Amino acid sequence: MEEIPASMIADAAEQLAGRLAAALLEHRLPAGKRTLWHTPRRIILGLEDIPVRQSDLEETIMGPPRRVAYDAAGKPTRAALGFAEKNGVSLARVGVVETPKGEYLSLVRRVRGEPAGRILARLIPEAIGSIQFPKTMHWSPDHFRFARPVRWIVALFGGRVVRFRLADVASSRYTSGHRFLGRRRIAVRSLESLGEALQRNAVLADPAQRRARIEAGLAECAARAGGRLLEDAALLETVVNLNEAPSVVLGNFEERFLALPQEILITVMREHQKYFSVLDGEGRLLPCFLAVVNLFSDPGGDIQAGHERVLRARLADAAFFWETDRRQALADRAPALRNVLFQEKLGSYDEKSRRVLELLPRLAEALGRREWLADLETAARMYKCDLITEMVKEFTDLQGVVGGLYARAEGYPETVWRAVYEQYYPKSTASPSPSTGHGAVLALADRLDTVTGCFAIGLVPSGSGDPFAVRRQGNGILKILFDHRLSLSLGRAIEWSLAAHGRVPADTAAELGRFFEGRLRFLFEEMGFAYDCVHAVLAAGFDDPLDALDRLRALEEIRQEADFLSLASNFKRVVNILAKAGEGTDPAAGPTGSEVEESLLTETAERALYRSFLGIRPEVDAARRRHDYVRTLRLMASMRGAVDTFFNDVMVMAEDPATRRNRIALLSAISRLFNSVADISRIVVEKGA
Amino acid sequence: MRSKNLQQIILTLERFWDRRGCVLQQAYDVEVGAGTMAPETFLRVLGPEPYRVAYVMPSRRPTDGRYGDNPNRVQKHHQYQVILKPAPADVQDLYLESLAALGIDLGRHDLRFEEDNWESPTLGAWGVGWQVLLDGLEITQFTYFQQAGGVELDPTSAEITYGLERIATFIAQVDSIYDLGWSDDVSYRDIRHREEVEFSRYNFEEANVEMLFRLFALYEEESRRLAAMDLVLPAYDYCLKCSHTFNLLDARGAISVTERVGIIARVRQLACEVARRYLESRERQGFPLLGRSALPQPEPAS
Repeated sequence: MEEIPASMIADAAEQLAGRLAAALLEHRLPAGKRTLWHTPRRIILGLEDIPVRQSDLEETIMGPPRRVAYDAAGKPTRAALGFAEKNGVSLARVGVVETPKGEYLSLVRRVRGEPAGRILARLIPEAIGSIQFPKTMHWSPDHFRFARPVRWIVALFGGRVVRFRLADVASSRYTSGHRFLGRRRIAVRSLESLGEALQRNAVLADPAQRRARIEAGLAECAARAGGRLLEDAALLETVVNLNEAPSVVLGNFEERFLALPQEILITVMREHQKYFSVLDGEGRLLPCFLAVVNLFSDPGGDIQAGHERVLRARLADAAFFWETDRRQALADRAPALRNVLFQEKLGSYDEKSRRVLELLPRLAEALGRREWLADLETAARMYKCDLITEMVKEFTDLQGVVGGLYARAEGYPETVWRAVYEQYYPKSTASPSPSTGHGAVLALADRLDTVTGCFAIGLVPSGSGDPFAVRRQGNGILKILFDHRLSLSLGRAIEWSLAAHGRVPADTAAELGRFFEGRLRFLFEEMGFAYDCVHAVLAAGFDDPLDALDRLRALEEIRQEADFLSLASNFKRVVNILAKAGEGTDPAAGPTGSEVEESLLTETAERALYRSFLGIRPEVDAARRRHDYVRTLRLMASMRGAVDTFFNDVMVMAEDPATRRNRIALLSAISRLFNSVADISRIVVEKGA
Repeated sequence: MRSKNLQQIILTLERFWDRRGCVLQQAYDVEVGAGTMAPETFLRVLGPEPYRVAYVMPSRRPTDGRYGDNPNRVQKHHQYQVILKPAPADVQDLYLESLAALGIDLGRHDLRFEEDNWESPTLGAWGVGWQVLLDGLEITQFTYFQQAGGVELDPTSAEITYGLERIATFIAQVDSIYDLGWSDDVSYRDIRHREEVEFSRYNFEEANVEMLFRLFALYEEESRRLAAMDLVLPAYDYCLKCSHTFNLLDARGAISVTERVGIIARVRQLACEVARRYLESRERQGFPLLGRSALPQPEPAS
């Protein structure tokens, strides 16, 4: 093949292997051990022990009913004769089978298996054609689509060529070596000989082998430079898939460039040149780089000199941007943000900054951080200004970081510059939130504005469509609240943020509520919580996501305790009874149930339950106020005995309406108390637990 | 490696592609941002007629101007543009042979084809391909065209765009393009430095924004009018003028992000209209080059 993009090749190889193995199995040709290699220019799939021929198949062909096939005298009719003739057998070979619908003629025929080679000639091109790529092209007259043109195909079975044509290429036994170090036409006899021949022709076909070679080279060169490698797993994966004959070249750049911030140097090297960086013992960058090249050696040092020249030009550009950008104070660029579009209907980044500035005082107040407001506002007035610096135009991945670096260089305190620097944190649910409290609040405000704005204009994520990555932004909001243990009413935050957007459709806030419920469910399950606990906790409300997380942790902690499990299973009965009685169990519905009349409690068990309830209630309230949900749930679980006895001894649906109403009121009061933490009726109780 | 100056590089490429059946065209005489925009590429890749062409194209990118101060960035650079239609199966090898012809020893250098898909929203065109990196330096853009002017392309053309200054600095091992020899006696600086200074000043500071907006509207109207009369080639000239005018306005910072998308769409509309009508016009002429299968007969390099 011509060079397949590094990001696509490994997946394409897996697809080919998976589809071909599945298709073979479908054709009764189970394969044994699999070998799968790939380089930018080839996918190599070896499947061992494929039978030379499909197993034979016994096939039963049903004929007409026996009563039609034979007349009263037992002589075969035209129907019987016709059936035999159609299938090319004598009537003697036709039998009779019993079916639920009566007796039928039938014929068992052996279908001889086809030779595997012939089937492979169909299945291999089909499997190649079924590989999906994120982007494809066509080039040959038959309009076959692939990531890049296919130029040769080697297909062997038992040492013989499996013949087919695909995309104007005839399969053969000839492969090609490394573009510059290998021969162009190499005959292949077997998988083993292929591996060896490729190695002789400067191709390491096995990605694991290339990875090991690159890793060893990186470590060796970093040590030679007197430092250690700055690990970069994604970059490593890329260079493994970018080279057939990788080796590592150590190059240097001038020390004067070390005056540039380390983040910028590393980004220039990684993003533009795919170079690795080297750090000294204190984690400072050394003036050198590691390039992975597609030749086994650099005898004349030409390659090193070439890469050094290219990097010098790149760093000179970056140094130029660093100097010229700083001629204007970051905050002074704010007016120019009017010309930078955030989103067509949501306006420019200038408008976005204004909305965030409107939101910040309320957020700071709600989070009890009024004293941060001055610094937060300073940061918010300039946090998007780096979008119009030359540095960010050139290195878009550095947005935020560059603004933070410029703010630091201008002498702003860390509370300010770091909030700007880390405004896009967390980049995913697996990466860190802003490291400072100020940064957390600014990032929160920025994301709230984006998410509520997108919902207000109908840019709502649906299925796989989420053009503004609103889901990720939503996850970010929640992750920041969790990581910084910020207690915030989502409902009010949404309301304030929507207010900053002006007129919005009436149901926007409700839609956002459902959206955040979905995000919480996703995050909680990603964090490893059991889905029934997640359901139970979310059903008890999630306006304060941190509180929901605390309740969930407590529930997870005690859910396996015997008392609690028993209580949970009994609680399903409570919910059923209340539902039947028309009592909502929705905690948000508030105290709709009537008060319990102690005088109407006649049975011992119900009086005991009521006393138990009254006994724990003050403690439950106190524990809840402390957010000590483990204690709260344990207190509830302590009612297990009273609840058990109650259900054993007491008939809730008593005939006397007053008694009945009173018992329901009692259950309802208990249910409301419990439901403020979690709807424990949703806990799945496994049998035997 | 024998060191070549810029014009020797051009001569070598001309000779190389001449032997491989290319029409050697001259640079187009309307300002363009890239060789792709010249009619010899944008229009010739449309439709079924085979074609092979090569030409030098001075390419103007006003925002890249650096007043002659930057060793690598210029508001005008030179591309060597090759179109092979249909793309032959050995097109990558042909390209690599051309590098060898320039004296580049690929056994001693790190040459790589890295994914880079080309797309031009202004032309309604895209393709897939690579940037070719030589010891980390991007020297060529290699593209299989899939669409131009909104028209699906069949057959697929291969486009090889050499960055001449890049290749020349690589071969001469100099850090600044101004240190390149244009000829043996005259340097790149001698010929181009003043031009960079003056045009940077014009592009960034002095271009008359109001006039440019007016011109844009006039060119746009003219392109539409001409296209409607099936004067396709002149209509395309005015489409190119629109595109360059837009680039000048962009360099002056006169176009907000909101306007940007709209203006690009207007130019694309012109380009798509031209492409559609060009194809119809060729069809009416009976696709004159269709029979010339003898056109692209590669000869082995001697």
